[in-house]
Amino acid sequence: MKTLLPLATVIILFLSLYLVFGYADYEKTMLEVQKIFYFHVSSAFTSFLAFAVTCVCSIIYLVKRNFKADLIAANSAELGLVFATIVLTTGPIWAKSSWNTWWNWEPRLTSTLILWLTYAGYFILRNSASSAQKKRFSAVFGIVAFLNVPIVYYSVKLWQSSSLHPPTTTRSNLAESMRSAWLISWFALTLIYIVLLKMRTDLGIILHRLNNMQADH
Amino acid sequence: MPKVDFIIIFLVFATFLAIFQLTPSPDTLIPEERIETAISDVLGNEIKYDRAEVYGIVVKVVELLNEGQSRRIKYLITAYFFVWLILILYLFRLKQQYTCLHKQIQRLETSSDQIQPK
Repeated sequence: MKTLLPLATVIILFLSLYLVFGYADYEKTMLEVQKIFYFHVSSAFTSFLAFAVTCVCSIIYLVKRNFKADLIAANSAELGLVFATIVLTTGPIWAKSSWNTWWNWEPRLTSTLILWLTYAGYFILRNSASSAQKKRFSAVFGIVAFLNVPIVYYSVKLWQSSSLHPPTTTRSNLAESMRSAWLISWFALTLIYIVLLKMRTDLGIILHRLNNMQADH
Repeated sequence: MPKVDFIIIFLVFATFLAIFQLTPSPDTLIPEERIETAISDVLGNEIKYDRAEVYGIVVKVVELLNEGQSRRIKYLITAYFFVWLILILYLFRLKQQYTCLHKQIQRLETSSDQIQPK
């Protein structure tokens, strides 16, 4: 199991790259540059998943005061931030090619930037609060910050007139080859997230035990 | 030492990206004979046309299409480049933490050896 999951992740990742570049049809207007979509949107969805895990684990921590729940919440928020960074980096590159501008203060872009800044704030809070308070404060912050996720997702519908992004329902209109490539890419990134979260959490648990041992000495 | 790893990987990526962005896209040269053969294959020998004019138009169209394509491919490669850069940097951060953990364990082992009675 220890090597099976990373191995499966690598295989699925290569499969997704093959599907994106060798199998999926070209979009008629944007042609090659549309292929950014597969990892851009998948990264966005993976970051939403990561922030949802943070929210759930934060609730568990507040109810049960479980150390592991707090650790998973923080690690998941960190990974969510990594995937959100991918979204905020690939987005402007795609925008430059398609809209001829690197950045536009339209609802989806602005709300995604706010989401990124909110979770960056989560870590500032975590590092600034004292040890006893930080877990409780960051758990509350992790729950409140998750309210941003539905705002990002529905921003196109909420502020339709000022949005440059296509409505979220476009995905269901994708050609079959594009949809399969997108789903496999999303699955690959989700597996990467799971593998990294497990690695990071195991590391955190060992560090915690080690610190306790050192304190006992 | 891990900080050096970070800097090296970032510099490699940055250099690669700079070379990629600053190098002009190579022209896709189609030999004149191939263009002329393609024109006569499409129009045939029976239709009379101004060879030079048609040739000029076809060359311009090919140039325009190539220019658009190399620009789009540049954006595509840059985007995927950043996806891997961000993920690799995160993996390096994990490696840095593993190194730190390893050092802590070694320190603990050394101190426990000193405490143990002979």
